[in-house]
Amino acid sequence: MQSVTKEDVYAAISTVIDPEVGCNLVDLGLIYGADIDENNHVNVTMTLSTRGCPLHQSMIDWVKEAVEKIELVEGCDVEIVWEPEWNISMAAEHVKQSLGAGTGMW
Amino acid sequence: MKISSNFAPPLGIISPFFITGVLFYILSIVGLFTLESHISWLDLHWIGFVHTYLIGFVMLVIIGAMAQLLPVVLERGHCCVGFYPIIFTFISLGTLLLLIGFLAYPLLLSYGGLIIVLGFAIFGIELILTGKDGLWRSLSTRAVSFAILFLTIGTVLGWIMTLGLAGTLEMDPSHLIDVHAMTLLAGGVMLILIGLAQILLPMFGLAHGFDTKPAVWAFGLIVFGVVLYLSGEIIASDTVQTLAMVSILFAVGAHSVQVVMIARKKGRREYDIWFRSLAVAYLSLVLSLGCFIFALMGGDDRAWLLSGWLFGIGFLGFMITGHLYKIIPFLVWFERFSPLVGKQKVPMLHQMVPKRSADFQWGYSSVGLFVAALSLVFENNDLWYGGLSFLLVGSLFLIHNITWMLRFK
Repeated sequence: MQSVTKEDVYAAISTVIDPEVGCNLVDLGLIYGADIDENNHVNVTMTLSTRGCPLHQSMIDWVKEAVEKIELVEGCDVEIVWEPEWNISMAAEHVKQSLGAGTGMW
Repeated sequence: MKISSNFAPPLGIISPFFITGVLFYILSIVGLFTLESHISWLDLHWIGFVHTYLIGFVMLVIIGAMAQLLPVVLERGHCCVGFYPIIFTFISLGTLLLLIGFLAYPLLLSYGGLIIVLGFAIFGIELILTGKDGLWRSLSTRAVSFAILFLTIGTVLGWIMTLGLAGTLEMDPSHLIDVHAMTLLAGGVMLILIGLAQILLPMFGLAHGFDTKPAVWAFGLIVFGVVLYLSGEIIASDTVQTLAMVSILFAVGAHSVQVVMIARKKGRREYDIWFRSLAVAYLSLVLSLGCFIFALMGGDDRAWLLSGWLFGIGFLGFMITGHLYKIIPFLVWFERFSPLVGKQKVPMLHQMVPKRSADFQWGYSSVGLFVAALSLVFENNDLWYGGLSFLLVGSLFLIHNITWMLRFK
């Protein structure tokens, strides 16, 4: 049976953009992992940039929809975890630069 | 756990809070043109416009924002979202009646006061029914819960004062002014902002890993201070009330320290309209604290007035307008664009802010705030009317920006 790869999953999730920050979830470092079983069912483990994120449920739905668009994927579950707590150092270098992270005190 | 997508109240319910709030802001600035820079605390016109600003603008916008934010924080939907149009109507109508009462018909004051008490009571009941035991879960929700309690006490005291002003009750309402103001401004508004800041500032600034002890201290000291102030009123002790004010001062100081700690852990260094508005807000708060301390140490009435001006127009005004540039685009985006994610290109939130016009709003309002503040120091009418003119232009930009964001398609 042809199987889905992690790269396929991350590529699909990278089409989901955080509208507040303007970057995709993978580059923001919000995706902690993606497990694919022998039936091509995907379990995504991710976090959010803040616990009180008003887009909590929407993010889950968008990630699920994006992953389920991949050919061969039989289904997707998304789990939100809070450990380890996300911080800007987990984001890709170009995201940090675009947000000005680490530049100056304020 | 299903969070947020089903819990956000419809934009149609929340947007009147923001639009009407800003209209009350404009109305109060226009009203201040009828006064001169030498203002007496007991001038009924002054009191009328202060109430229009604090209830019609500050509280209306805060309640609208909390209607959107609290379900997310509490992780449960509103118990009775249909209460919000009633709350909106009561508080708007009550504010108008209070203003007319203060300006011309004192008999209307007690009706306006009662309607506002009812509006806050419905808001408090809805919050309790929605939050239940979850209200004690976090510092933010605990702060909001105590704030609602103090708002209730403060508005009831205010209503009793309106009965005195209208002649229905035989009493001198001026005796209650300080306890009324302290309960509402420190116990109500400041406590809500201390609570909400713990959520909003890290959320918009992408700040993590900061120590939250200052916020815990700020919460404890302000609750202690307000309770002490009320106790001092009951036992008629100036010493107790002075101690209470010192406690509240330390609470505001602790909150300021917390904000600096959050700012230093910010994950984004964008100096957008939100950040710049907060910068003016906290600069005003620090200056207001300085004036407050000076007044407490024996400064004249101008120090109290300046402290109040910087706190009200500077801190509260800029804190609220800055957050409107974050909250309204989100609400509009959530309602109009979130269903289109994955189907077509959707705008980013920063694209839904009229940046140039927002810069003008910020610039005019900042100049107006500080020029009018100077006029209070020097009791100079030219500076006063000049400052007010800048503030008015800024407020017109604000209503333009609010409607622009709400109409974004």
